[in-house]
Amino acid sequence: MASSSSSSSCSSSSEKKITLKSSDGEALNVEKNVALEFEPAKGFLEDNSEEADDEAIVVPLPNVSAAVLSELIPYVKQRLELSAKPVQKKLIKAFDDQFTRHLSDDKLGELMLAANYLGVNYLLDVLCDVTADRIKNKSVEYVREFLGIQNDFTPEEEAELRAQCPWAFEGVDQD
Amino acid sequence: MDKQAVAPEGDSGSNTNNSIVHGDILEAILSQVPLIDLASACYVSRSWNRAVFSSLRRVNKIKPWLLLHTQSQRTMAPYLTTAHAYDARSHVWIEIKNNQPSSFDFLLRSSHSTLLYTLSPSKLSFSFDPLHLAWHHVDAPRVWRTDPVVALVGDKVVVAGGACDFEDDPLAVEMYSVDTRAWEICQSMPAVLKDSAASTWLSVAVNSRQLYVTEKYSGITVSFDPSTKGWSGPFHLRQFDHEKKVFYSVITFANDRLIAVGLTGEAEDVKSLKIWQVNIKGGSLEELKEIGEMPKALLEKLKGNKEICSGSGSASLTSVSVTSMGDSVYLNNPSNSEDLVLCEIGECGDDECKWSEIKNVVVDEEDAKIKGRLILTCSSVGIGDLQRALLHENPRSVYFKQIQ
Repeated sequence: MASSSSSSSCSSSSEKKITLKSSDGEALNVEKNVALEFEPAKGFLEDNSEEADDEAIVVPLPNVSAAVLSELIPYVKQRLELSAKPVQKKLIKAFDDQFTRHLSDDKLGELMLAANYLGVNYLLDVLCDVTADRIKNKSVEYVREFLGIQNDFTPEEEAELRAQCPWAFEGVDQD
Repeated sequence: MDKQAVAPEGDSGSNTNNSIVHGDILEAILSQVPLIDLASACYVSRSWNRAVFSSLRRVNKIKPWLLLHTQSQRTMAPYLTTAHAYDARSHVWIEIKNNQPSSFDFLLRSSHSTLLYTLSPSKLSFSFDPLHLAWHHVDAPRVWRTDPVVALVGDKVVVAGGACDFEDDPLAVEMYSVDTRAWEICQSMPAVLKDSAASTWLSVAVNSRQLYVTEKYSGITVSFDPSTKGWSGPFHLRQFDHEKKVFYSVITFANDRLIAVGLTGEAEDVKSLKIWQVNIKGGSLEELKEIGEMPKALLEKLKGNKEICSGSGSASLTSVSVTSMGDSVYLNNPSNSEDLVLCEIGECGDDECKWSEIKNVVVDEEDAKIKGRLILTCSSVGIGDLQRALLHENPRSVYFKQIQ
């Protein structure tokens, strides 16, 4: 009796499963409403709408690995459930914080790339904020290391920058 | 269902890592990084340098900073000063620290948005760079003044009024050229201001060509042109306010438009705060066009009422000071500076005002009061200004600390 309205509505069309195929060839089953949050999948499903059986559709996502997809899918699913309810923004923020808090720097970058490719803008915004927070008050070298950026200044230019602006290379926070 | 998490993570990571963050994503990230941190982000690489400027141009534009100086209220010099800034682009407060504690032998003052000055019997010191790090020291004007209007018009520092009337002409005007480093005597202020020719009673607005001065309580307004060294006017700023609703008004420039900020009602019961565009034709007032009204909730904050609509909220609002740059107008209640208000004025023709509340963090934590005197100015601060201010070899170099 506790599972009243929510379970009944979910059991209908939104419960239909779609198969997503990752860059490394794995097939992942997801609810259709989750798949529709991914722009390339949405486009693919619209193009193949005459296909009677959704279960038979396999959406290729050649730019996202299974590892990243398997993190994204539960996030999007829960986020959809949250935003379907009239919840406060605070709760969504807390949920986002919880999701991003323990992400490694590498994972953060991969998720950002995936969120951009998949057009999940609310996640991209959150990840950009987190990245901005992580590079705030940090030294130039930390940022290069953190995001794997090639330093393309000439050694002379670099030496001059270091002499004139040591503060930029020291960083205020502990790296 | 977490089984897939064992996928070859290192593999996918190392391939893409080098180029993960670029283009729109990088610009989106940088849009969330405070301006003070972007100063060093420029040095990460060439592409980052480009991305920083592109992000500032396209995603999250630079907004003028509110600069807030406090000066200790001791009876004797030196007066210790502190400097803070509010960056509206990044919504952060920043402490601007010098290598040595800065102090002034005379009271720090400002009569309009861009100029800070101190005046002693022998010396006028003024500063008009964005972060007020460079100071010019020149001989004092000939006439001794206690509370003059001091304004920078083009490259001229105009010093008007504020003299002691038993001694000198209280309306005397002198002008210093930053270019030729010489003082010139100018036409005195119009006699209509003879009883109020001190910056306490006057509000000042300046663009690159002219200086406007208005009497805050009467609305009598005059203008000064440095090229002719003469005054025009007066006209009455509130001549169309037939019902005499406005009891107080100040002026400033925003987006190169002369605007007036007025309080209606009475000091004990201020009904509204409105903003008008002031259209002048041939030296007289042609039109006062309303372009905005402060939301009631913000007005109550400005008054210092903690409880909105509590009935007992009856704090008075006797005056408002404005400081502006570009499209940003910062409003402050001099007798309660805990809440400041920012009004961003749209381009000409687009008369939308965007209002926001700014909690002043430069208050003493213990008694939540501001220590000493508060002097507000407004500046366009760019990445280059920050980088120059931070230059190691710069003897006036400062450092910035974000206040959490």
